[in-house]
This record gives sequence, structure tokens and C-alpha cells, in this order.
Amino acid sequence: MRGYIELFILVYTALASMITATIFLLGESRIDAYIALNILTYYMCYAVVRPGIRRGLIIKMYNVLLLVVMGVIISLRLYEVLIP
Amino acid sequence: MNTKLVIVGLNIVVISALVAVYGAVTGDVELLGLSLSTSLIGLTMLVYGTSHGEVGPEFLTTYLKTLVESTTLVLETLDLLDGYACGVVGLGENTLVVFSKTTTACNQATSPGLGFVGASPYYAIPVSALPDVQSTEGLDSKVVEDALSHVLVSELGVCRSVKVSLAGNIVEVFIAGIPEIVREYTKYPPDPITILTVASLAKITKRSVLLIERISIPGGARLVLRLA
Repeated sequence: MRGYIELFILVYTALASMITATIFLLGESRIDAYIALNILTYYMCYAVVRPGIRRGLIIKMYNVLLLVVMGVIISLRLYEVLIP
Repeated sequence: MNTKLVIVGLNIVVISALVAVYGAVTGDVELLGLSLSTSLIGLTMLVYGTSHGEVGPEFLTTYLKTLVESTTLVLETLDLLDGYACGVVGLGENTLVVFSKTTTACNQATSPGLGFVGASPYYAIPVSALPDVQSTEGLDSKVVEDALSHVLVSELGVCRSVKVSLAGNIVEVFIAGIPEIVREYTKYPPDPITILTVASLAKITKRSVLLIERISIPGGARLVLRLA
């Protein structure tokens, strides 16, 4: 293990794989649930491991992109609940 | 770029994309969800692989060890192992980290290398390769912390977080998450973390910085410094 980035990738991959496999075996048919839980896992691992980033503009942009995707998914679900 | 991570990430993205296409064609939404989730894992690896650079780390580690050991020998010969370390903003943009038995060398040492102030020797290491940093005239712990964090975390990647607290002219710097590869060198007197922190702080505040105390904490260090 060289650094925190490798540790982050390891933890994130392990957790995301386990969660994805679990909801797949439970027969979840909503595609957005898979993506949302994966993004949630990403941020959880990011917050716990805190990979030190050197000149990480791409990673910052990626974080924003994932946040936007997550926001859109949650907004659509909320919209469905509030206005059925 | 971390080539291994990029290759693994690319493979995962391609395979999961193919599975996603298959799932979409057959109308299997569970398979589509699974493959999209997996492609996100691959994409993350790809992004982190492309942005994370490793340039000859083994070579640099060996080179660093050689330099640190030789500098330690010089300090030992000059009987400066238990002396002071201070950062001085020298002529131009150069910053000096001075090892000396007396604090007066901090004010008088202007040239790098071995020198004398009165009868006591000093050894000054020029630190010219520091990243550009926003220097501040007034002392505000948030501004100093942000500037120090920019140098040590964002640019040099030598630790995960930096906390600064100011009380008069005394600055306390908490450095957390020093990588294991760097931690090995913190036992030497010319500790890279101390040298970089002292030099950066001198450059940020444009004042001489004297290291009063250095305490090792698990995974990091606590430095107590005094600004001139």
C-alpha cells in the first residue's frame, strides 16, 4: 500500500462492490438506486479515508459531477413523492 | 499517471459498458443497474489513475535518504544536532532553513551553506523549490493555515491536513496524515516535514521563524514556532 489514494480505491471498490451485489441479489430494479448508492459509497469513503490530492483538478471536477448526478436522482425521486 | 490503475479502470469501464448494452437490449434492468454501478467504480479508478502522478518514487526515496543522512552527518560534525532550526527569508525569493546553536544566526545568516556568526557555526539549507504562495502581512491563523495547507497538502502532498493556531508570535502547527514513506525520515534532524514547514511559514509570513518544539504524534507532528 503506497498511499491514501490506493487505500481509498481499495476501500471504495470493496464497499461499492458489496453494496451493488447486495441490492442486485435483493432484486432491485431501479437503475438510479444502484447509481445513487454507489455515489453515496464514494463520498462516504472519501470522507473517511480523505485521500491527499496533488493538483487534483480532475478529481474535484469528478466530485462535482457525481454530486450533480446524485442531486438530479434525489430531486427526481422527491418530485415523484411530492407530485405523484 | 498511475498506469496500473488506469488500465484496470479502463477494463472495468469497457466490460461493464458491454454488459450494460446487453442488459439494455434484453431489457434486464437489474443487469443494467449492476453494470452502470460497476462502470462508476471503473470510472473512479480511471479518474484517480490519470490525476495521480508517481515519478520514480524508489529513485527519489533513495536519493532523499542519501541527502538526509549526509546532512545529518554535517550537523553532527558541527555539533548542531540539538541546536535550533529556524527559517529565514533570504535575498530574493530564496528561503533559508538555518541550523544553529544560537538564535542570533536566524537574524544574521544570509548565505546558504556553512557559515559562522561570531564563534558559533551555522548550517543553512536553501529552500528555493517551494511552490508559489500568497504571503500575508497581517497575522491571521485562517490565512496562514490556508496558505500552509496549499503548500503542504495541495501542492506537495506531504500530509493530509494542516491546522494552525496563533497566540501572539507563537504559532502552533498540527500536521496530520504524513505518508509512511515520509514518516521514515522524520526521525532525522533535517526532517523534511520540519524543513518544509519552517521554510513555508517564513515565506508566507515574510518573517524569521524559530522552531521551539517539535513533537511527534501518531501519523503526524506538532510544531511550535516563534515568529521574529
